[in-house]
Amino acid sequence: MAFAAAAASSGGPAFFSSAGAAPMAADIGPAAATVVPKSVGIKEHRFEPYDFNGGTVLAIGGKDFVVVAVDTRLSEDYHILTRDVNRSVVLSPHCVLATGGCHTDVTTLHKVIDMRVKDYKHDHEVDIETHSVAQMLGNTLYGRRFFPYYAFNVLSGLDAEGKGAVYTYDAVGSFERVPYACQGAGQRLIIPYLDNVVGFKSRTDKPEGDLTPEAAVNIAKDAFITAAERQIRVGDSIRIFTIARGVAMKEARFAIRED
Amino acid sequence: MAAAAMAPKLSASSSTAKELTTHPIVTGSSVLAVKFAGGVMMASDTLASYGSMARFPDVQRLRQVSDGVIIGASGEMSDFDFAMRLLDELRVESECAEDGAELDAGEVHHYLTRVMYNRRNKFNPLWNQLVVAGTKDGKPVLGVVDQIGTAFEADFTATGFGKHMAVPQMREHWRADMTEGEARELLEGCMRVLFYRDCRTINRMQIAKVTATGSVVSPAYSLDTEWSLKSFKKEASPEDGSW
Amino acid sequence: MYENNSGYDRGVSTFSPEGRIFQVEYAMKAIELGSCVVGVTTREGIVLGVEKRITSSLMEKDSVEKVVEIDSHVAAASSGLTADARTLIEHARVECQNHRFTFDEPLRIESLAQSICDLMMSFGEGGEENKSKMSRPFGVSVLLAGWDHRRGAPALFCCDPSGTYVGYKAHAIGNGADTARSTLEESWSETLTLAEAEKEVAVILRRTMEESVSADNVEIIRVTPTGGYAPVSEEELKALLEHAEAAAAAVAP
Repeated sequence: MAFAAAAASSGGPAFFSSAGAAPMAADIGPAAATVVPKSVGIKEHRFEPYDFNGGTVLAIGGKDFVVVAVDTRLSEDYHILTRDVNRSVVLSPHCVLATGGCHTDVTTLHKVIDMRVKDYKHDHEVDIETHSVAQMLGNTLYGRRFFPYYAFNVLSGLDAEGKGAVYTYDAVGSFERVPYACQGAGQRLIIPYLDNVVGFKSRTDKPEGDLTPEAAVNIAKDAFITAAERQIRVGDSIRIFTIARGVAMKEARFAIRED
Repeated sequence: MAAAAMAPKLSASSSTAKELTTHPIVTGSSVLAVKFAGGVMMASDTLASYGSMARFPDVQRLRQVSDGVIIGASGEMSDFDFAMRLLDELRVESECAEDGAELDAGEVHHYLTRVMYNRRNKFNPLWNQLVVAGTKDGKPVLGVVDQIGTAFEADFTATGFGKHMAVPQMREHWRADMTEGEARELLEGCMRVLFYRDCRTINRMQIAKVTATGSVVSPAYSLDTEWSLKSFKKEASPEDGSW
Repeated sequence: MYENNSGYDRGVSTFSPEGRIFQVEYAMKAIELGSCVVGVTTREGIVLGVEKRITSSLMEKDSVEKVVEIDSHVAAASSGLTADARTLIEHARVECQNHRFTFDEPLRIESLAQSICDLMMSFGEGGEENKSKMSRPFGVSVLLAGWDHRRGAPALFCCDPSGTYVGYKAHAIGNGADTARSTLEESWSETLTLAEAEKEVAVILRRTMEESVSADNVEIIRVTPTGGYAPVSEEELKALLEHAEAAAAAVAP
């Protein structure tokens, strides 16, 4: 096996000319250079088991549906590690878990929960109900009370009656069922928006009829577009799950700003 | 940047407590990798630094796990050796089964993720950023995992200083349908910039590739450099130093 | 013994050449010696009726517990060695509460039966590492009667000493179980109401028991989706037994 020669391996490749380098030198001044990236090996002086990798999760519950949206940007300090990370796991035909926070804990937690859900199905020969996942997730998080999963979970699905169910958690397992939720990097930007357009908080008018899945998806898109404007950890794209009674779960992608 | 100048501490433990890797000592700098049409290509230099000292100039940081999988490592070189030993034990055990099955890149990446996470949980990490390349069902696979177990796949990636210096170039020039030659051109371009700008790099690099037909790691070689560029020639003065 | 079974019944870890584990079969015999338990499912709920052996007028009848609550949605009754049953009941109760703690829901009856059977079949000649293990099979069968919330249906399972469980629409174990089962095969139908099932259970107990039935030596409980585990009151029980006597009198010439 041999290597194809780089077209411009001698004398410098075409895309990196001295002309190209000049503006770069001007752009990155001494001020920018003082930012010490944490991940350049030798500068680490204490082992830090946690990292914040961004991730924003939003869920809106309806009368017979739930819409979940989660972004796909994986970041570390000021770096974007990838624009297409998956921070969600489909646990059953009617239940999705999406999580922001420390990605190493997020992936591990998702594997653990997925395993326990599969065990449940083998043991009891039925799909686990959303409220049972909710309790089990709470226990799982509490099991690491003294070395927590740095993970911010929103669990969404349909309940036993087919109503939209949204559960929101803290890192050590406290949880609550709510009509809608947002967690992670963009939560401070998104929650007030949801309070206004979904919760109708402090408004004198009333919602015109029940929220539809389509309307909820649009709210989710707007929320992420808005958050991406002001929060550097939100961006690239979102995954949108629509779980509705009597219909197979749908997953869609929606691009948002990449900068 | 003062921290960068500090020599690694080698203090003898006064207690009998177990010594953990609390900071890396002999380290490798960037690893770069890109997918191209039909495979993955990876590049790194061959330097293992001891703090700011260019201590070991001929260390292979790109290694073959099997015909179909290669790994590149940044960070602590002894931890990298240990991780490779784990993979080798796994490979030997698998070969004893004589079932013809081999771990593919996705499986190796996943395994390393679990190793890294479990070591992090013991506060005894393997201090590396590992880049795993291979193919699965004929499609290129490129995975990254770091010392706390953060794992992801990407079309192109860089570790260490390359995250700052190489990723912007990759973003500009990477295409999914790149030829092998174009991929190499991109990686060598990035390596050249890193040699110009990263103080923990030498001009002695290796390149490796994996395609559906197998993998190969090149011997070490040097890149042509150009030091007459305007920004390099700028006169240093106390007021207006070249950067 | 040697002539019959050539010594293959002297351990629980050796099959006979015919492929039998005699100790398990003997354990089954112990059940037939136990008092009768009858369970009947209906769409409205399940009825479990038991015979309590009150062998002396000096016995406190309430101290004989034949049917117990495992969880609010399951009852269990056993035939055979009552002492063995207590181990299983304790295990079953813990399983139910663990499941509620972990999953915030009642444990399904079939899963409970599975879990009881796991324990029932873990007998054998354990070495040092198996001190907690039973050295012999459990000498009881357990009838589990409960409401399966996931299917929205009643569930009746029987766990036997071999560690096997089987689901039933209606079933009886213990003394006179054969008679009871053939009666149930005739009388059970999909459309049975809870009240009819209660009467049927009383009639069967009246027929199979050697003693004459009374509120002292018969216990009937029901499990319904809304009410859960609920013993039939003494007045209701007396009425059911009167009905059973009347039915018997009507049949007899």
